[in-house]
Amino acid sequence: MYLGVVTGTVVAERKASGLEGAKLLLVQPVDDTGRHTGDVQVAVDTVRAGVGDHVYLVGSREAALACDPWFVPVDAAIVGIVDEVHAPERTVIPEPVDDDPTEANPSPPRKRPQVPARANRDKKKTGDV
Amino acid sequence: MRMCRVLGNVTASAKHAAYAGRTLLIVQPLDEHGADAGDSFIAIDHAQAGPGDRVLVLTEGNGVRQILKMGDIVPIRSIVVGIVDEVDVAP
Repeated sequence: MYLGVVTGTVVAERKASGLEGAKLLLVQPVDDTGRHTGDVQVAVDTVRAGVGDHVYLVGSREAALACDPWFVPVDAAIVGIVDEVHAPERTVIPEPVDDDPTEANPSPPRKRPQVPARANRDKKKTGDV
Repeated sequence: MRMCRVLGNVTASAKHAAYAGRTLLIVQPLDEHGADAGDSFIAIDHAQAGPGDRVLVLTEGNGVRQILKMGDIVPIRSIVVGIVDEVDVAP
């Protein structure tokens, strides 16, 4: 079994017998980090997944066994909608942010002392000239 | 069978009935030296494995049906069947 993301839907009017009524979805296989791990494929949906859903699939002969009836020409089936992938060792620890949000927008009383400083500098320049 | 490292687990609320009550693990295939080899995939747990464990994963449906004894119509293809203690590679 493998993870995937539903990227679209497929409609096929003429199908092999056994595929009537099957809901076909486009799926991009991904790994636990979300990296694409192969080409987009068409899978039969058994769990009412929709576009954008993070799902898991079963392939090969077992995909047909997920369908009802099970003797169908299918080789990829969506069998679950993923809520969460919990892989502690792959979790990227966000780097500590240097900027303190309280310092990003200094309060007016802290800003005001800078204004006289600039004014003094300007005064010095004019004084030199 | 593939030797894999368990990365963690996957939770899903909407799933096929055959997966009800089963622990889904995300596993990373390894080579004989323990280095990652290939893309991670999902297997159900049958060995009480946890994150970080090096495990044996069966990736074939008939074997899964034989182990689970749920009949012939089981849409499950990969299952963790053992926890690896030691690997000895011939020089």
